[in-house]
Amino acid sequence: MTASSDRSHNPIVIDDELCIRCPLCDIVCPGDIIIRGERTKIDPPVVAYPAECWYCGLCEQSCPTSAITIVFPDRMIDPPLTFADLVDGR
Amino acid sequence: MIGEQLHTLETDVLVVGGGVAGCIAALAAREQGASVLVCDKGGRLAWSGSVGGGVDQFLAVLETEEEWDQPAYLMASVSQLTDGLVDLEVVERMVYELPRVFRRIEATGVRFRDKGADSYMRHRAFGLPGAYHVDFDGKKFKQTIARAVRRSGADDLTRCSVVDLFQVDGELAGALAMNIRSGDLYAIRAKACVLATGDVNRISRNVSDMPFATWHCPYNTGDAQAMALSLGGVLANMEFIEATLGPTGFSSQGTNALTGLGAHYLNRQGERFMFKYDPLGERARRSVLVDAVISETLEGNGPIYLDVRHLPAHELANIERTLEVDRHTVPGFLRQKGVVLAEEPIEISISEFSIRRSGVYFRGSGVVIDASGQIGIDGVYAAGDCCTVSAGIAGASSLGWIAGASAASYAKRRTSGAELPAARFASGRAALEELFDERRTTSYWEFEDAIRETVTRDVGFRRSEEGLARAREQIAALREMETELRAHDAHEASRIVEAVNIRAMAEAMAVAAQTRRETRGSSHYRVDYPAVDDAWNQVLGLRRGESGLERLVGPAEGPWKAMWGSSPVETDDVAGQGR
Ligand SMILES: Cc1cc2nc3c(=O)[nH]c(=O)nc-3n(C[C@H](O)[C@H](O)[C@H](O)COP(=O)(O)OP(=O)(O)OC[C@H]3O[C@@H](n4cnc5c(N)ncnc54)[C@H](O)[C@@H]3O)c2cc1C
Ligand code: SF4
Ligand code: SF4
Repeated sequence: MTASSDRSHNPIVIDDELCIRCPLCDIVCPGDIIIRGERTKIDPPVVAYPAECWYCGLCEQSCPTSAITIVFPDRMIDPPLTFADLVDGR
Repeated sequence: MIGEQLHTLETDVLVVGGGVAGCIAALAAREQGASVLVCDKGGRLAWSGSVGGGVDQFLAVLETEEEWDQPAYLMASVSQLTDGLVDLEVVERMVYELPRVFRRIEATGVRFRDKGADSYMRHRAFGLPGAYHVDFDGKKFKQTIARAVRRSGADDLTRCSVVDLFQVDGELAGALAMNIRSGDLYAIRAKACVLATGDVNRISRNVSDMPFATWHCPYNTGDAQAMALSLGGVLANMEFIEATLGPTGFSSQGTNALTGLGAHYLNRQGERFMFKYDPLGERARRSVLVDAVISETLEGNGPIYLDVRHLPAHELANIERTLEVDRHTVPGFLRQKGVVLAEEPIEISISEFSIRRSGVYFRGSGVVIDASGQIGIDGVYAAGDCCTVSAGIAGASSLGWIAGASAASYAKRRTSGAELPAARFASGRAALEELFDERRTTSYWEFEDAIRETVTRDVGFRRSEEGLARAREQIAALREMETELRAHDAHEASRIVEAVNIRAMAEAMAVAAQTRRETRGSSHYRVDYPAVDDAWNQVLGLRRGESGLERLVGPAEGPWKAMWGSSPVETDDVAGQGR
């Protein structure tokens, strides 16, 4: 599997208890990553395109109830490649 | 699906991309009395684009009594700052307009000074000859200018991507736009337009192999540049790349602020190596820092670390806040990684690269404009990081203002706009609908990954004739794959449009990099031509010709618009000159 199709990691963890379905996270996201629930006021927002997140943090910053936590994937915390690999074309 | 709803709109000035340049262009055009429609991919103009999360500095010339604070004084350094590759005519217009534009932005409610303060906090940065940068709390910068756009009476069309522009008899007719969530289509008639879609990202890999977790905004994909090429415009400086240094694994600005505070760079041996590269050490220009880290790493002295332990206690106490200003999520990243900056050096690495400028202010990579912002095509203007003069939010604002005002007065001179060309519009629409054809089997991420792999290996930090020739072949072959790309919803369709533009930009980059047979810093490093070649004191342009991209050259210090009507050159013509 290629990195960009790896949808197994969810970067945007939403605390369902805290979320008031406002849905600011959907509105502020510059990349159309978070989408409000089908019934906006009832269903929680969905992280529809997790692999396309910029990790900009706008959703986390804007959430009125601090329901959002950004979690980085292992491949960012402990990267699989080095700069030299990229230059050598590995 | 696509196009279940088709809406028709009409405006004097269409602004393509509502980032910094687009918003300011809209204000200028409204001030001239033109009707304005701003189209942006983001959910709201208030948060879209590169700086929706905030900014912290604005390069300003304020014409105070300081000798250096005058446009002419700054202009005198521009040539040296850009190593003589810069369109002076356009930069001059941008710099002279800056004081007025700064005050105009301040009037929208942006607070460039702290409450109660009677002067601006200014500092000297990026090798500029004075303390031009205004430091300010720009968390709400984008929200404030977006609100001013609303108040001005401009309309906006958000979550919509402009996918095609149309001309009739050499004049702009309008555009096709798509809502990236609902798939609704918009037929927009416009008398003039301002292209302002920002830089080109998602074109290379980073060490995390996370194509969207980038330094710059991953949703800026060279759309204006690609549309300008199709209309017959010229792109320049496409061979130059820009990268930054960030905590290993997270391509982000963050650590730049630490360098400003006096952080040290160490190599694997614990040596403070920066003085080997520049007498200013860690205070050298950012591009010099990046060059040095690249060299150290490739010489086997990596990993490289950033050390702040010697900084004064009050700065260490505030370090999270300092980091957060540049990128909100950096402190959280370090926490998850378990790094405590005040206690240990942090490993840093080089980010992916993008096409924007080449580590310097005043030069841009993208659409060639003249001093009015026009791109050589009647009614079409450009501003911001998609054009050939770029200077952060200041450059985007000043040129945005110039382009917006020019577009409005052009629109006013046109009595009526043209009808959209029905056949061209229909084929643009059909092309989007075809993306849903079940017989198509390739995903946009496979396609994009293939572009990034080729570009990173062969059109990246180290380039050679052999690699570039291979890259051009592979990038050309990828074009054949475009008819296989499959979308399942409007969001995916919009990503495919972006991916196709990224491929076009990769092709431009490879052609330009192969043509420029010399080295210019790390933004264009040819291992087979490792020195600067004076014969190459020229700007390199690209235009779409009958059989692929045509290469054009123009005077290093402008005007680059001289390339608009010029005849294509062969590579060997250029290399032979001056020898
Ligand atoms: C995190 C960050 C911090 C920065 N901080 C500073 C700073 O403090 N000072 C400074 O001077 N510079 C800063 N910069 C650089 C600065 O942001 C850019 O130089 C500037 O934003 C360029 O303006 P622009 O309008 O060209 O691009 P952007 O502001 O990025 O706007 C481009 C817009 O076009 C939209 N778009 C793209 N394609 C399409 C399409 N096909 N259809 C419709 N819309 C489209 C995008 O959604 C986006 O909103 C920063 C950059 C980043 C990423
Ligand atoms: S912004 Fe916060 S509260 Fe509002 S919908 Fe999103 S997660 Fe829920
Ligand atoms: S971090 Fe940014 S890109 Fe990712 S979901 Fe939140 S707002 Fe969107």
